[in-house]
Amino acid sequence: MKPNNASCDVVWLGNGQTFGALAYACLCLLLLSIRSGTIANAQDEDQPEPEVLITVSISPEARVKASPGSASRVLRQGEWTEFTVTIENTAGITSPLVIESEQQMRDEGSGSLREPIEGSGSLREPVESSGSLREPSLDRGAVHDADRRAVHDPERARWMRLDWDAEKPLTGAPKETRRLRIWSRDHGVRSAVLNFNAGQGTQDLGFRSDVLLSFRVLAK
Amino acid sequence: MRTEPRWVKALGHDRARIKAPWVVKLAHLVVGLQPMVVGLWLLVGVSTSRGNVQDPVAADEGMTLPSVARVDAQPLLLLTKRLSEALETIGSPLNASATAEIATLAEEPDDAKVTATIQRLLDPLCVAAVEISPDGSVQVIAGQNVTVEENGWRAMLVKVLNHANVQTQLQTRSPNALPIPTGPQDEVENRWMSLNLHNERPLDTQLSGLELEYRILLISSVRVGTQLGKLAFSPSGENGTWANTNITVETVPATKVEFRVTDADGSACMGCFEIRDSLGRVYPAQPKRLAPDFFFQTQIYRETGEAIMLPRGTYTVVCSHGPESVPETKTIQVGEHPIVIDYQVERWIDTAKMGYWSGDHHIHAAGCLHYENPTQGVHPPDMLRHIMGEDVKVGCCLTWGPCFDYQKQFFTGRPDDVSRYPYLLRYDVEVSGFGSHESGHLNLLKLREQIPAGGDSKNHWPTLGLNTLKFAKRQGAVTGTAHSGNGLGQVVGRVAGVDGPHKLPCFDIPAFNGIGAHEFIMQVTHEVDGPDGQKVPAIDFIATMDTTREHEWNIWYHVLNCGIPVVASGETDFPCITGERVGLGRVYVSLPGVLNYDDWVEALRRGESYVSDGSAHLPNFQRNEDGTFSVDVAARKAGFPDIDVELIANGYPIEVQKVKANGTLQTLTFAAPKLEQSSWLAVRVFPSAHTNPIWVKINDKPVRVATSIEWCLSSLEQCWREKARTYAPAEMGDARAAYDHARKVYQGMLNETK
Repeated sequence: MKPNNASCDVVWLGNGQTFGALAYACLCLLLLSIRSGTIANAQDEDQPEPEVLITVSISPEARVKASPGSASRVLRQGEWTEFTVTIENTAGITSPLVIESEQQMRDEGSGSLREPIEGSGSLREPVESSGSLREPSLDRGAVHDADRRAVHDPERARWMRLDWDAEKPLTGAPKETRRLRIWSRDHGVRSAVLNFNAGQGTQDLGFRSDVLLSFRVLAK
Repeated sequence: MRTEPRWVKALGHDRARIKAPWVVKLAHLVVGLQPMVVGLWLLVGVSTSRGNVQDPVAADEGMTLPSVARVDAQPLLLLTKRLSEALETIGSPLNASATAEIATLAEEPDDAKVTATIQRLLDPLCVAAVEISPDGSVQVIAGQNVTVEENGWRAMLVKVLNHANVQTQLQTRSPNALPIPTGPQDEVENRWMSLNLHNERPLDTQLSGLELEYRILLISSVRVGTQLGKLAFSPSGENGTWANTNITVETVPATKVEFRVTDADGSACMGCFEIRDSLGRVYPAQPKRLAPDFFFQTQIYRETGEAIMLPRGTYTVVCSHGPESVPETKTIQVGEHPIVIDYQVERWIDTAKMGYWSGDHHIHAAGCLHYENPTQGVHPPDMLRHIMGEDVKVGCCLTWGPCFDYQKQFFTGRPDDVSRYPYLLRYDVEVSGFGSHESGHLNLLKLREQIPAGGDSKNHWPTLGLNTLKFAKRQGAVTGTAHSGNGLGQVVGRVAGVDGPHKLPCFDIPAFNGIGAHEFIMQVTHEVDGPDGQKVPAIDFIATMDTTREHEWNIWYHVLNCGIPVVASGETDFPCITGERVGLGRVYVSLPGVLNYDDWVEALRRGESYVSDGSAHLPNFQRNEDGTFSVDVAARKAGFPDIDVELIANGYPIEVQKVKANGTLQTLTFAAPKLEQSSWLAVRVFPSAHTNPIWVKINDKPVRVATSIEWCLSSLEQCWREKARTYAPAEMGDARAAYDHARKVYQGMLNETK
């Protein structure tokens, strides 16, 4: 149980004695650690999984099919949103699962946004270059102003970043889940096609290896 | 009190949604006085909740459907691209000029211009517009009239103006599209239409939330003439808000079009026909096809005496009969009276007359692109029609995971009774989706028993591929891999060696993380019991021609370089790797005289064959008495004036000759190679064709190429690392022993080279 109200007040033992100074310090450190989230606790583990954005099915013939899940397709401009991708691997293959999208932003050397950088753990956060991030307002007129600047961007069609470990092999288990994080440069409605493959030529036929998703991106 | 007409009730909308109360009154008239009303509407047009039913000209002028001044171009362009792809997929493509103009919009910086242009191009194709107000109320506005052929389907667009930015699934219905069975007798006449909002891939099933987008509506009519009907939409589910409009549908009568098809020699045969009208729309309509016509193909297969129905008009018909034929394009005019399409096949080569019988050892009647309803896959007559139409003489139809328990009934241990000489269809098994599939799929041909003892389905099969092969080989089956290059693309290491042209051979170590020729690297070192107890190779062939050529041929070369005589066969894995057609990958087996399945598959096992995609042929590869090699070559490849024909030794080219790809057959002779070690030699036309090897011994020693043996040893270890987890505990002992055996065999070969 998470001790949200944990404090470092004097801790009394049952027989009326107090801890020694060292023990007291250790206990305080422990409680602070729990409160700051650096030590996992049961409640954290019980937090709900992000919603399933996409279910990937790998057929016995190793054909990769992707279908939209039930997650709300809402992003927030300039922030990462985390989703779950469920993988049903009936072929038992262990190759990496790759996502490709023509809506992913290209690597930028001197664009309005710097490259995402390594943040804490495996998460990567984009940072703003000074004054160059478009700052959209909430009213629609301002949206259009922002987009009028955007239309001169030859990369208009590329509006998002994906955070996905494309080198991690599948486990071969019949079912596993992965995290996918999406970051949007723009706001408004934005659409993307995400294509999945588990190696060259594994995409299923008839557009079944990709999903068309449209997001409502809330202005920053 | 007067009751509402049934369709008003059926629509389920609240009356407030109908902006004009007189529409309700009109509904009463439609029910009671339909014939009179029809005539009246034809004369003066039909008022709707917002405007008039528009003729095409008015719609073309863009004056009727409400429009949006500007939406963001990014989602609009992507959604329009997917819409265009969806229309192409169902055989109703946008015309070329519209497609080209849409393509230019990617460079248009002004979103308002993009928005206007998309509406100008697509509005004329709309049967209606659905306008969703910010408060969620809905209006439907009539658009273009619909012309549909009798019993055919027409794809129309529906414009959605989504001011509420909802991301729900749009739904449609009509009182004219209610089912006739179980309906009241007095409604039968009124139920002449069928509707289907096409939400299949590549579309998203739900609305994007963008203020402007277009959806596809399929409309069909069973009654010839002009009909007036209702069309209702709801963005909020069955019990949500519905609104409707009137539509006019003109159903034009269809005319019988019969086929007369003969092969080049005048004998009857099955033709392949792709039929499109002047707008590029495919007939019969793809979205409503059932076998023998496959919904995922544009073509159909027909023979003499068979017919289809087409509405009056001009059509382009592309006729063919497999890759050995020269496709012919005909223009036909369909009028009031039945006509005949007369197609005589022109061949640029006839390999059967040269004693080479084409085959595809890996096609499916269920799974992948096939449907599971209304039947679990398709049936033998359907598959026979397709192999006949593509001129595949032997079709090996393999039952596998999906629909296994349904399809297994077609296994007989001999060619199916539907076979029509020289076209033979036989059912066997691909171990896929069960048993040992995770360590690499296996094709089991010429089985006598379809299922191992201990069960009657797919759930008790061995998990070790070698044990599967033992089951097959005991009954005299011919065995091989499937889609061999799968899982051999990712590189995890390398051994010393010199890569050849096309990276053939290549000394990178693949990941062995898929379902291709994986455990194969172990299986090729084993002999198992044959039907008479004699030891036979566990695996006979490696499947080629349907995965990345470098990957599938590379592992084959390395195994051959160990002196292991595995042969190549050709497959398509239809409709999993492709649904385009059967026989895209083939094996051409030399068999003098009359074709029969057992002899054909045994000749395949012996490697008396070449593999090809059908565009290049390499029959009669031989070593002559003077040490030279010769082969007959013919190729016909659009866009390739010349092809390189390479003689290779142990995987490396030693002589290359250029040949014109003009379809003529010629004999090439290659100089006697100066071989310093025992070698296998073959001829290839990369990536289209490959012969099986001829073995040449020097000093009576076997072929042993040390670098390739090292490659096989490293690959064996990589395969074990990846696949050990896939073996059941009960078979783990067998698995360890089988891999240990392979290690010893390869190591022994390596020792021979030192």
